[in-house]
Amino acid sequence: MRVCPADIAVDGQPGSLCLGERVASLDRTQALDRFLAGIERRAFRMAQIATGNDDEALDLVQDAMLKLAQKYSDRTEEEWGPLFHCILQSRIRDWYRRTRVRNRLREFFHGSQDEEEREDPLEQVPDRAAVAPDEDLQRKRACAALEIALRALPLRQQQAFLLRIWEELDVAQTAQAMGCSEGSVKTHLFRALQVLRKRLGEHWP
Amino acid sequence: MSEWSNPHTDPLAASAKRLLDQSVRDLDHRTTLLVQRARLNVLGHGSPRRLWLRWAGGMALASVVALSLTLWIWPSAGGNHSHLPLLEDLELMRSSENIELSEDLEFYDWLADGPATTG
Repeated sequence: MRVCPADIAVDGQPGSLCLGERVASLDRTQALDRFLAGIERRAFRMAQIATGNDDEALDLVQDAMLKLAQKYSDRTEEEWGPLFHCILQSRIRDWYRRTRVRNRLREFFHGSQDEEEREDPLEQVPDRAAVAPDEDLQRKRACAALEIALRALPLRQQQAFLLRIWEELDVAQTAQAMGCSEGSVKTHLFRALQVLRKRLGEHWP
Repeated sequence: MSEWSNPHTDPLAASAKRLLDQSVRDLDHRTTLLVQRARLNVLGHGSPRRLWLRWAGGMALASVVALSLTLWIWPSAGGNHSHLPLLEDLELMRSSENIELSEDLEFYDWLADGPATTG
């Protein structure tokens, strides 16, 4: 028999939970907090690279956190990482589709921009010959060049590269997060590395 | 594709990983705080960021669509539009009485001050 007040709600939990369950729930929330605190900035950078917009990236990360907290907080902590990436990548894909539709509508109403008028993002990267001796500055420039090259990749290649290379997920986990086959992950990563090598040059960084 | 069996040994991949890690450490204080706040909001210490804004945006979009449809469909339905209050006002303003009223405005003004002037 449970010995606990029936109608007291603590931390948003139903009042019928007894003390032991409340403590377990609090532990769970703290564990989730630690997990999210550990990945939030990397997740933000990943969304930022995908969207190129800080506000959109923050929204996507928060949405992914919310979904994880609402739907999967009862899973084991080892499962949270792949699940979180699965949710985040799904949110990024949704954002990408919405943006593509919006851009098509914009082009329909305002006319498409001429290819010649479009600015090559890599042209924004400072000339290597003009690099200052300052190491920190050089690193930032290399990072900016990488980010621009990553943003120029097709979304699937970008996702494969970031999840496999940066997050070090294995092929199966990456395939799950991207919602595709393991073979597709390998193909996307292969192409991503090819394109990046070509765009960044042999002497980068 | 055997050379890609372990992409982590690729020099480009290693450099990219190092730079991306560094870019996380280089995030400015404001952005870091915003990300932390998003997490705290999710864990129940506040309201989720900009969700209300999305809801309001959706409502505004729905209203605009409804208004556009109304304006688009209404004229094609045809019929008498004289019941519209705005058009009624326009009709009244176009009537000759109103012109007379505006022409004799000084007279009516004098009439309104009747007790003072006649008394």
